[in-house]
Amino acid sequence: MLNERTRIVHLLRRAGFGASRAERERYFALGLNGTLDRLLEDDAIADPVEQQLAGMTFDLTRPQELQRWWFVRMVGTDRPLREKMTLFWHGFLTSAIAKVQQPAFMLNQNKLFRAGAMTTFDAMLKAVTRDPAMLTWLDNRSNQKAAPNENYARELLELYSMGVGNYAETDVKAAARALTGMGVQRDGSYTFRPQLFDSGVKTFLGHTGPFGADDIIAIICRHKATPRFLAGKLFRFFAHENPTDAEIAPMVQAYQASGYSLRAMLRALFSADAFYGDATYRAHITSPAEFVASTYRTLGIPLTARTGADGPRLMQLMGQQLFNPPDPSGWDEGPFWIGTGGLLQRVNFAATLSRSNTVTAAALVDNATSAAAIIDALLSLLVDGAVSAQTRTTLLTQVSAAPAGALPPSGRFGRALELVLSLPEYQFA
Amino acid sequence: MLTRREFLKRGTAIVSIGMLGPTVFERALRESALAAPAGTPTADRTLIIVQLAGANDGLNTVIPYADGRYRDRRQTIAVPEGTELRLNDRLGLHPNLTWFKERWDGGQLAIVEAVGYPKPSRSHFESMAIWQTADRAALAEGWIGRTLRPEVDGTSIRALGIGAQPPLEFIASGFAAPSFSNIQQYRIAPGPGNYDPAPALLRLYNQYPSTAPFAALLDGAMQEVYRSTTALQQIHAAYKPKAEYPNTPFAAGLRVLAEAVNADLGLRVGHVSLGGFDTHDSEINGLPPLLTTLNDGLRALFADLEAHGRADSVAVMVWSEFGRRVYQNGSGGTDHGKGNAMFLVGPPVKGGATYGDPADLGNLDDGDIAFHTDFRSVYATLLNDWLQVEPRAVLGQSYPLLGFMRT
Repeated sequence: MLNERTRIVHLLRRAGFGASRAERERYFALGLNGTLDRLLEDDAIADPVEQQLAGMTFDLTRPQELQRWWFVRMVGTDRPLREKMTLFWHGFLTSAIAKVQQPAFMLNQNKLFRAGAMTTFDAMLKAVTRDPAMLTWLDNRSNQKAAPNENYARELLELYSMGVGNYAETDVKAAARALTGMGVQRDGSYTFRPQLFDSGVKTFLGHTGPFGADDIIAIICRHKATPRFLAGKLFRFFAHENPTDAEIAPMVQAYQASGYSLRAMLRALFSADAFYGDATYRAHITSPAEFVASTYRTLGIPLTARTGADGPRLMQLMGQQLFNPPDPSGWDEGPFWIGTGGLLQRVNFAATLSRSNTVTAAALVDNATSAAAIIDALLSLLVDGAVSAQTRTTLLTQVSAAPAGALPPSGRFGRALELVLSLPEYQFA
Repeated sequence: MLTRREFLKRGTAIVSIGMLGPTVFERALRESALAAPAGTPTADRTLIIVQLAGANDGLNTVIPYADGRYRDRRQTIAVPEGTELRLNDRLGLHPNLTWFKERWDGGQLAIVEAVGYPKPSRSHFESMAIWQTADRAALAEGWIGRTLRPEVDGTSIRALGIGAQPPLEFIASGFAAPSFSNIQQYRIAPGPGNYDPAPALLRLYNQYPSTAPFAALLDGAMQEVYRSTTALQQIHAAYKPKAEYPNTPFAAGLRVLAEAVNADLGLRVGHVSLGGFDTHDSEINGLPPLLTTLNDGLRALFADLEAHGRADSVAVMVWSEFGRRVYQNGSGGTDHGKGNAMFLVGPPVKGGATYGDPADLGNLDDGDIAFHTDFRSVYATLLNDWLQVEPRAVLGQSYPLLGFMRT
């Protein structure tokens, strides 16, 4: 059984991007329930990251600066669950700039995900179906009555709501017809073109009528496969990778009882014992976005123009390019980040950061100078102190061999930080 | 069917808990063996797998130019008659595939027509997984991982994947292969005062408890990081390509595979992927540049291998998860289909010929090219005649061999 403080730190890692020492103290004062309330009911929080962003000048017509803009949010936001959900939606209801091409479309989609992060699933599907980035990414802008294009219809069913095995090819074709007529205007805004819409009668998942997009989405959201699929997606993203039916049941119930509320599903997830159990705790391999953003955040490194520029480049080296998932199913998560290339870039990132003067011993280990005190403080901050006695001994030997002095690049502190950030244990959240 | 992620989680969990961890002595021995210079057996036969991700349109790649139905059904996106590179009285290649045409003329390009599998999936992700595992069963492992696992010897680099994440073909318990997207970044960064973090890293990953989550994966990956960065950086630094590679990530990946072949690292299988083939929209603009990238990359690869005297030891297989519909859609593109054409190319290939029954435009399967040849027959042929591994041991059953390799 994890104690309350450990639960809070675990929740902040999963439902956000980790927390610095100072931030943790603020949440400890709220207790676990108070922390959960603050993460979920965040509408009234005035987010200081908005002011931070206002002081940085980003050219958001450039893809690289778009990535930096988002990275600054991940590290600086005071509404961490909303930001984590934005990443969830990006990897779930994917679009990629490689095909969409227009940075403005990707920016607007990102804002849509953030604003709707914790609304209802039907609202999110209706919004993303009309989203110009999505209309471009899966070609639905050229899906017309006289010439159906079923790309979006298929992925809407397969990847975005129900999963294979719950519908037939005829349902894909019917959905494609219902999704005709949606387009993007020259100014980049959504438009509906009635003359291109197939207003005929369709039969979709056993229902018959002259359906349009919202009718299809309503039928999907009512279908029993949908809450299970969505709950499984959320559970795998936030908790662990092999949920049982019993583990997702509270989220499915919350979906049905609340009119498809995402906030209700998340509350059910973060309140369940399963979320704090052995199968979940420290067993999630972090994605590069989680790994990089939470490292900056946990170490309390304030983002400057330079470090803000670095984050997305580092994620890309580790295999994840924000705004550019590899295909409509998003990134392969978990163990796929631990290929040799990905793991190598993680340990190199740890080394580069620890050898720079970005981090100082004062803030992280209270200026401790003994190898043992430095190591124990960093292990506590970064991996909840959970390593084997053997591993601690290896760290002690390595750090003691480093030149004395607490400052990087060559001192004990830098060596300790480099090795702790490289530990197999730190590849998990 | 389980997702790749679910498989890995369970597969590696089985290794961690089900196998006794090596003793401290064995681990120390393994660690010291790693530090020793790698003795590398020669692999005189390498298979390079090229994945065209997104489902390449086989009909606009290998064109049945003499069949009037081809142009009828593709009013605006058919390759204009007379521009195809004619192979025989029936088929022609897309005009951008000039190198492929030369190889056909030289007897080194084989085409297998109408390849697929029973009860085809039109989902990219499900179909890719079926091809990459050669299996529809739960917990299926990658077919190359299954092939090469018995050959793991801790010194050679049996497989090498170009890409940020390892290809599913390689994923199998007890098998780890280097994968990276950029060789320049593939090194452990030394610290100030010549500090080399590698020994500490290897020890910390060895010490990670074998019952912890993903223990086998993490320990194996770090060992492979150390071994392969050392070997590949050495050869990359010394390598002088004897051909000019185009400035594309695809060609850069092929160059790294050429380096590994020429350096006798024991490479049996290389994998490189080229994406963007999901041409639902304006295929006429989208497809040709991709075929050029494919064509020019492979041209450079073989020019380089030939100049190094190693081309005879390399065969390339080009595959895609399914073909596309025969009828074009309303956006000047094509939707997901079924049967597709595959390429086998290189000096070891018995080329200038097609294998398998032709794609039949007069007998479609729900608007698609019906499959005639199971892709596992292609794999079985490569396993038996090229990699010299009993196909049944990898594929679980026998499939007819197609005879497209010279040996």
